[in-house]
Amino acid sequence: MIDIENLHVRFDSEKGVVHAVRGVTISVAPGEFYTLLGPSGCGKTTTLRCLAGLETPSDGSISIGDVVVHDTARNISIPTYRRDIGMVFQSYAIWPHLTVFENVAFPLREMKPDVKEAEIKRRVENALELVQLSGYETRPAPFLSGGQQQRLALARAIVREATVVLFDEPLSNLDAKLRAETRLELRRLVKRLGMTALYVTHDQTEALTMADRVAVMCDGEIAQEATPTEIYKRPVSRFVASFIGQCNFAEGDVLSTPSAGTPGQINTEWGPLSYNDGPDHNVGDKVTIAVRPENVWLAQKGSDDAATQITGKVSEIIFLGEALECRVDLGSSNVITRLHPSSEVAVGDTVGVIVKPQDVAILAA
Amino acid sequence: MSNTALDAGQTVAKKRPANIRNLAGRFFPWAILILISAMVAAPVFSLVVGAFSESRLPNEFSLETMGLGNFYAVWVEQRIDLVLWNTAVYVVGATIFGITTAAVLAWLVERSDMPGKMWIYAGVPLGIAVPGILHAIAWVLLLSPRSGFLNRGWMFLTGSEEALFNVYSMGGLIFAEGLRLVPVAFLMLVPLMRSMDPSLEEAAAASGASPMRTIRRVTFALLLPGVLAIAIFQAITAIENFEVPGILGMPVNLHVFSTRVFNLIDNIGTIPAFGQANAAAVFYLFIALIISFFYLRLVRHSERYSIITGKGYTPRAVRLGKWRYPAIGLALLYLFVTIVLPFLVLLYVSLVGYLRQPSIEAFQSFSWSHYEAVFRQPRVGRVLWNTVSLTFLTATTVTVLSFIVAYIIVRTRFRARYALDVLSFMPHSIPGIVLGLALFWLLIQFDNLTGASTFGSLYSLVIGFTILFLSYSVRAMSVAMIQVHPDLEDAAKMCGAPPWRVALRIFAPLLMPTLVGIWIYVAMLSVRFISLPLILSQGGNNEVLGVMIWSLWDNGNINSVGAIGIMLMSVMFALALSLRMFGFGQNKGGGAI
Ligand SMILES: Nc1ncnc2c1ncn2[C@@H]1O[C@H](COP(=O)(O)OP(=O)(O)O)[C@@H](O)[C@H]1O
Ligand SMILES: [Mg+2]
Repeated sequence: MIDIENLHVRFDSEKGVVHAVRGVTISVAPGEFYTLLGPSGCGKTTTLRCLAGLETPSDGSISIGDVVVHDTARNISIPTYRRDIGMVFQSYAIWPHLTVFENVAFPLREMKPDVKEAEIKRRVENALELVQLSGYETRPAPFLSGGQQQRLALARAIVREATVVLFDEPLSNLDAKLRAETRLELRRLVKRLGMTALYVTHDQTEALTMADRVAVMCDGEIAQEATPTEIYKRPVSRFVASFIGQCNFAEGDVLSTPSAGTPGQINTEWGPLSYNDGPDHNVGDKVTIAVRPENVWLAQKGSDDAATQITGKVSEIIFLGEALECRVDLGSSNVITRLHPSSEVAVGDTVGVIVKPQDVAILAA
Repeated sequence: MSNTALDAGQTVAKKRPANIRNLAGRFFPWAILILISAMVAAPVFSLVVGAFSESRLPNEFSLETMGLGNFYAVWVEQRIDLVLWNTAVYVVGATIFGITTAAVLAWLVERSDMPGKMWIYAGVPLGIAVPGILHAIAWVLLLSPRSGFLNRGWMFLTGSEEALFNVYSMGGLIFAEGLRLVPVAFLMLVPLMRSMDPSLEEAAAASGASPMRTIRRVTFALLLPGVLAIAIFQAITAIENFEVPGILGMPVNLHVFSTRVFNLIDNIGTIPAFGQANAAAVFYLFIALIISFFYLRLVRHSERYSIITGKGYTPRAVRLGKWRYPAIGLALLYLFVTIVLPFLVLLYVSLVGYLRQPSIEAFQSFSWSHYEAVFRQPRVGRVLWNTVSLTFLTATTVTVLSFIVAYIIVRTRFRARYALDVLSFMPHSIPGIVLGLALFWLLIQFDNLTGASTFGSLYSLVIGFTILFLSYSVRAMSVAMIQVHPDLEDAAKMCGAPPWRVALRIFAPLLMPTLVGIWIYVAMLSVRFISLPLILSQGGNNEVLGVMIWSLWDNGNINSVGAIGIMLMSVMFALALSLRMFGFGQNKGGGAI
């Protein structure tokens, strides 16, 4: 539904040329909820704005549905207002001189051929109901709360029933609690309407909970593209692993590769670990492994197999409410683990650390 | 605090001065309130009373000769209704022309990718350096029907018998005054355009609106309330203006309110009709008040649009494409017409031997003799000294007074601070001619009662100008003070500084650019403004430069006008440049003017 090919954007600013987007290629299937995730300044908004036609790419091609909306090589560029899109802006961009009703009716009034007034009324009311703003029709738009403005912006984006809807950090101006509620609501709504969504955010929780597929961006390039589970469990680089959540890293050498049911072995700076899969490596390769804190277990005394344990000493415990974060010193390095708050470990205890083979992710290169 | 026990005796001794200071602190704001009320109420009162006086001269005023005769005379005999109509056409025309020009320039500078923007941005505000009287005179020299350089050039080139354009007309009034409104309107429009979040327009595009529709349904609609407020503000300026209608309209008996009022007391060959002038001025004031009222209403409801400012806003310019060079051409043409051309014309007449069309011989006759002649005039030293003193006294008084008033309004819990706010805005709607007339009456009565000689002194002008320019500077000052976060002062108070030291050590330095800006701007206004001095001028004691130019022009001494004009404009340009460099902080560009 959305195809972006080798997109480049360069800005000429006073400080010289900024190469904001460097060869991004994205393909979004119809009905898919696709998220661009990355730190501030990595080029997410620029990519999205190119798709909307608000920014002109320096190179590359973009198509929406069957329509090529931009192709630098063939000198094609369809202006924003002829593209089949809806968009939710980070600042909401609610027009202060119009009422709630007129804000939502705006896209319908711009349609060709003209939409009948009764039809406009029906569709606006329908859209407002979907975002739970029924009853606010006559209110001037500035007299809405932040959350309501956000939903109004959403109603305006979906009322055209465009095939593609674009989101630029739509939740970043809401407070944490409202944001958590709105995340799933928004995904459900988009799915129910069968729209294809491209969603830009810098918040990994949003990306993981909402998306069908996530692309992590870094410095204008896509660092990894995968499903949320995949990207969480099998990050390909330190950058992706630590951007998506907390992570332990260790350097090591491959001792043996996995084959037919027997796990491979790596000698890490923590100690020897087994692993199941990962990019192809040969014996003797230097690799970096990543393990999430919640996958680092402390052995029950005497019960687990002593052979798979690495012995260490608890050096710090931080109470987080729903969990304990616990640092275990393993010789020269250390590892962070997450424990249930009822756990009885104390600083100074000697503990056995267990990492299961399926939880060891080997980073590419 | 901790050592109270040690010097208990001293504390008791110190208590009394502290109390007195407290008391003074309590009454000080009231004193200011009374002062400001008097500055507004006393002249208006004397104006209205004078309008009912049927004595021939102000100093023959007595309660026995009161009546409605003046109003009848003004309305029926003088046909003030015609003046009203003229004024309406002139004000509406000039405002529309001025605002449109300013809006185009502001849009080009703020929202487009026109090349050379910085030059336009810096150049347009320089227009305030050209005094209205010189601006109008320059246009007479260029476009007067028989001898205007442009008209003569046109007739010469085309062989036509008809002038290209007669500047002594309503069209000429609208054109000249409209151009004069542009710099301040531009300075007010730029922040308005800058504060508009471009994503509001992008959202329209993303909703399927074409660029034309976006401009109509979003850009215009959003800017409308702000532009309307600025337009009304400019209309007040236009209705107040005397110089342009005085030079371009009065000679052909094309009167607007300001010139009619002046004409009633200063018309060669007729007896001054003081009472009638007052009656006309009362009408005039009333209309100005109504417009100001609308302005205040409009500005008060402007917060509805405050969310025009959005977050995540990156400056983006509209691409003009092939229109880029025509755009900068148009902008440069404006600068040429309003700044360069008047200067060149005056320079020409100041250098040329006797007044004639530009030609080779004319250029050969160039000399400094007119400049020398100006300085040989006996009154010139006196006039210069008066002008400089007036400028310094006015600028300093206004700056200090507006600092105090704004401080009370913005930073204290003084009970009547809203009254003070409204009162300090009132003078904005009193036209200079009206205030001049009002002070004329007031000071004569005052001198009669007390035996003082305020009338005809330089101080009468200082008082008048202070009243006229106060509302502008109080507003500019309040805006700047609101932007100083109260925490900055609180931090100083926590360190144990008493209020006056906080004002002096924290407030004043932070506000320095604004203080300097207001000082320079008021100084420029004091030089430019001639309506009030024209009425209050009584010979050498308080004749100032503007009045001298007026009388030289009246006597047909055009070369001297040129010489004085060039020198005056040079000083004004220097002031305008220093205003840009030192005043109001660089980027705000006098947003509150
Ligand atoms: N109009 C512009 N002119 C110059 N540089 C820009 C412009 N817009 C964005 N950039 C630069 O491009 C980079 C990417 O910006 P953006 O796409 O907004 O990042 P993100 O949305 O990921 O935070 C940043 O370094 C930003 O400074
Ligand atoms: Mg962004």
